Amino acid sequence: MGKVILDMSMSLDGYIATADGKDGGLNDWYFSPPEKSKAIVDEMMRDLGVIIMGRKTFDEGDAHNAFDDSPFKIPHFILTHRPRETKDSNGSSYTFVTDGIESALKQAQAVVKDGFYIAIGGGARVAQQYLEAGLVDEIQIHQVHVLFGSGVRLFGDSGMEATPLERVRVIDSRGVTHLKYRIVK
Amino acid sequence: MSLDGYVNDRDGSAAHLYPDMDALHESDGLQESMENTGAVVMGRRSYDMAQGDYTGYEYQVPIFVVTHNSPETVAKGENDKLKFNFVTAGVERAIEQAKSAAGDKQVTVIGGADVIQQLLRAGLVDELEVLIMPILLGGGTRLFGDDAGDALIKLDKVAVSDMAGGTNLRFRVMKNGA
Repeated sequence: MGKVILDMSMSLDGYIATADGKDGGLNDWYFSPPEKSKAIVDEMMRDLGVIIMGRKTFDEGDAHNAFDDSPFKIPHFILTHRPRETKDSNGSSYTFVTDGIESALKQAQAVVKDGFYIAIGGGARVAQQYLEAGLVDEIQIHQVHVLFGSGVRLFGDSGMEATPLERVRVIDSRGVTHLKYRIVK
Repeated sequence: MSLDGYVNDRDGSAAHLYPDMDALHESDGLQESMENTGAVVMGRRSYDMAQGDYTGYEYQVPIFVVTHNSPETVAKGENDKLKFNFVTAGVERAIEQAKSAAGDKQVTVIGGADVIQQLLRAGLVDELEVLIMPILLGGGTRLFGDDAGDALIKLDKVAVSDMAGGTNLRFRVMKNGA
């Protein structure tokens, strides 16, 4: 069983995209990491075993050819209502799952190698669904030091009960704070 | 606030958020803030949360309450240092008055969320301090509410520290052109 980690970049005021759908610099730390963020990027490259994401997140990346030669040579599962053929590209695979979050996770668990983790990589709705279903083990927020004022929120008013967390680590990097928590079950 | 951005839960309670109030009061962060604060600004709901009794309140300084209507009776706890001032002319006026009362010291804005948001958007905040507690509340009052405009405000991190079981982040608010 791989650990399931919700892993997302978010502004201090809780947004994962601006109102017009742009990333607003939220992923700059990943593309040109400041010194202390390098360990986070290295850890992802080393330990990330499977990525689960929503269709919109996939399509946005795909539109920029982000998956043609992804550095993550691992299985990806994409939640969608519109089926599509599995795509293989330079060692990465992209499987489209139409029967829900639990099925996608089950498929991810079936292929994840020992010692690797499964990342829930967004969007917000997919992240919320996994959280509400109690299927997430850890939350890693790359909190970027900016206020958007409006946009797409990661955490909505969900009807979820108060859920205590246990802080795993805080990495105080430049322009971003990497916060990691374990969900207390 | 909680990791998911709330300053109190759906019932208006912050009890889940701060299980250890004593630790919070005794934290270096709050002690330092108490020392450096010359005046406090708060919204009416924050003022009402003390239910009319400010005896032994941590900030023994002039307090400026932003409100639409001044209350008929003033809360207990006033003394020669702690005095209540009710400001009905808006947040900017409250800050002006608090600044002149604070002299060389800082003006600390306690909340609530709407007062903080208004001040941030008006460019009146020099530093922003947010204590992130290890909990998801799932709903309640947000510190950063929706539709606060689409102007991007950049922050420069000054310090990160542990505080009362949470992670305290202090930022300088970057002004336009700065």
